[in-house]
Amino acid sequence: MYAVEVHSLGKIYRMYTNPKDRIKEVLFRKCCHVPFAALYNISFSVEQGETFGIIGENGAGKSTLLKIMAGTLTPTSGTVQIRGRLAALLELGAGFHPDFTGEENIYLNGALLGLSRKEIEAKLDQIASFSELGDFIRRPVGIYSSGMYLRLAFSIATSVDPEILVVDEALSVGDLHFQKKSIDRLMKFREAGKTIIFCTHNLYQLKHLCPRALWLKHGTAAAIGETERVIAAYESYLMGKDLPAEETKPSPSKQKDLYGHELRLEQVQVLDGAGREKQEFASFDDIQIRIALHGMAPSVDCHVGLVITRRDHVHFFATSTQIDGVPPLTIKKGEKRTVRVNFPRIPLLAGEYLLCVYALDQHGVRVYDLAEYISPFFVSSGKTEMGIIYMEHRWEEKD
Amino acid sequence: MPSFLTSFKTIVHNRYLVGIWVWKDLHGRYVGSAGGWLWALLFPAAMMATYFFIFSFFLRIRVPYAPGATGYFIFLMSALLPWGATAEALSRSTTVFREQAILVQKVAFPLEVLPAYIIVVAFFQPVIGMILFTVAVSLIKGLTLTAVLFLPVVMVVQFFFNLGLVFALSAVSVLFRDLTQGIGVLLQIWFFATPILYPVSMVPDALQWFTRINPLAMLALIYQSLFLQGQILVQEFGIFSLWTMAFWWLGSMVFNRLRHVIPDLV
Repeated sequence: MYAVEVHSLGKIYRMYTNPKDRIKEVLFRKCCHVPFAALYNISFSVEQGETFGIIGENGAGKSTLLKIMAGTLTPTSGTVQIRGRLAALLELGAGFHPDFTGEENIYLNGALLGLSRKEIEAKLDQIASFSELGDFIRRPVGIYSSGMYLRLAFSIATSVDPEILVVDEALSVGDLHFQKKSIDRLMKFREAGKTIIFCTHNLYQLKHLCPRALWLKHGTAAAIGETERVIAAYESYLMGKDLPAEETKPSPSKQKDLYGHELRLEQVQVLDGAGREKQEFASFDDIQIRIALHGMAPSVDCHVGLVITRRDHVHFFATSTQIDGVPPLTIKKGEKRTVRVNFPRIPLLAGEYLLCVYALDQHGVRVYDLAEYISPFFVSSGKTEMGIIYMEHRWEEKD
Repeated sequence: MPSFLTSFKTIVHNRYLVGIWVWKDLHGRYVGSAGGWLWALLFPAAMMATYFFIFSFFLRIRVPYAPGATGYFIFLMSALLPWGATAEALSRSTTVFREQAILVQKVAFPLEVLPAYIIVVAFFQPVIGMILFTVAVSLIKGLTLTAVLFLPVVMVVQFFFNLGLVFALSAVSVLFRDLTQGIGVLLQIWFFATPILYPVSMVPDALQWFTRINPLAMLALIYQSLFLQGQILVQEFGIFSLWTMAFWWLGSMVFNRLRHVIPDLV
């Protein structure tokens, strides 16, 4: 049973360069606006009791999506089906008046969140004690520290007792004690079998709280699925974005001039231990890299170099037939030769990885051909350790 | 169900939330001040006392049906106080959604609550003024029971008149921000085009037609007649009620048609 079902959702805003254009459009029925698609063709569903994450850069449409789910914005196309009472924590302390006491603000905020007078009165003590404000509950919130303010706001917001909770960044504020408390409360929601939709920039939190996630990119769903995969793709995208575009795509004409015509790298494939081509692996899977070369000069002696890297150009490991003491391949004109590099039990943790492959002369100096930042493959770790590679370790209590 | 009934039903259904907003607005004015809610009484009392002295002892203007030194004071206040309720509601209506932009976008609550609370708050001072004024008039020259009983009826109709206009204006002003400025200009002209400062008999014959189509002129005449002659102007009340129904219907329709774009545009 789905708690939230979003089907081909779209949100288009009308942009006007001049306020007069809006009047013109109404009066003369002429089109004076530029459409801007904040969300385009988004579909996903969240199971009852699931904790679902949403990530994306600023301006990717996260807030628009959350607001549509919360019911404040109306989608331009598509549908959102909500099964159960939904509460959205998009704005903590909505409707607070700084001159009113904490207690008075509980009434203001509670009423806005849809609570009746009786419900608020019944929850008053519980809200006050969770917020840990003590006697300050009877002082105006204007004199509160920002932490106290947020504690009160969070206490009210989560006292609504919804079946579906939509949370926007609410946890990345406040001091550590408050953050822990608020996460604990979310965990309690989760244990109670409630559905949580969670939007954050904190990928660590996301990984820990949500088994599945959605990555929004320029208003479209760039990836939906297992959080680890989605995060890997997202991080990889962020890394690639920081680099100048031409660096990742060398122009073919330049290559020819620089590297000559003796040899061509024909194909690079990533295979699993059984030799089947694959893109998705788990940590400690066996991997083979298959490199096919095509001879173009009468006879060429060649070494092959391989780098395992990432979109941000960090090289994790580089080796070559020369380094490993493998004799050079001799390739005749028109001949096709392949080499395989076997990596048993790769210790890589979750992420997207890329290859750079080089065909070099027998001294390992001159480059015949190269292919950089190609053949992306994903690793999911199923482990909670952070970082890039898994390092053997053990803990002991010892001086 | 027609839209003017659904929007009214929404307000009644969410009366607690409307009440909370009214309380926030009013309590917010006086909270922290030593006088507190006493100011709500002092303000109209001071205004009325000032007008009483000025028009009874200095500016002794004579108008028909208003005999005696206090005649013009009674004439003026009887239409000026209710005018304030409509004028404040209309001028605040054009900014109410933009002032609460964050809430409108981030918290799901019935949007009808915001224009509704504006109307109630705008009535607050005038109602206190009317109570003081009714007491004052009955002390000065006496009031018929009919007038006192009919007064709340007129005010209820005026409430719905405001409702229609405020609903329409609050929604349309989100689309066209010029309305915020425009309504200020309009209210100023409307005030002087309505027989509040002057009796309707002073309006030139060539312009009498405008008084007949100006709903607030009808309302002014009804109030003036209640306080000065103790009479109910049935015809004027009928015309004003028709205007009220027309605006209520139109305002609710416009509001319901635009409600979905309000959060997009605030």
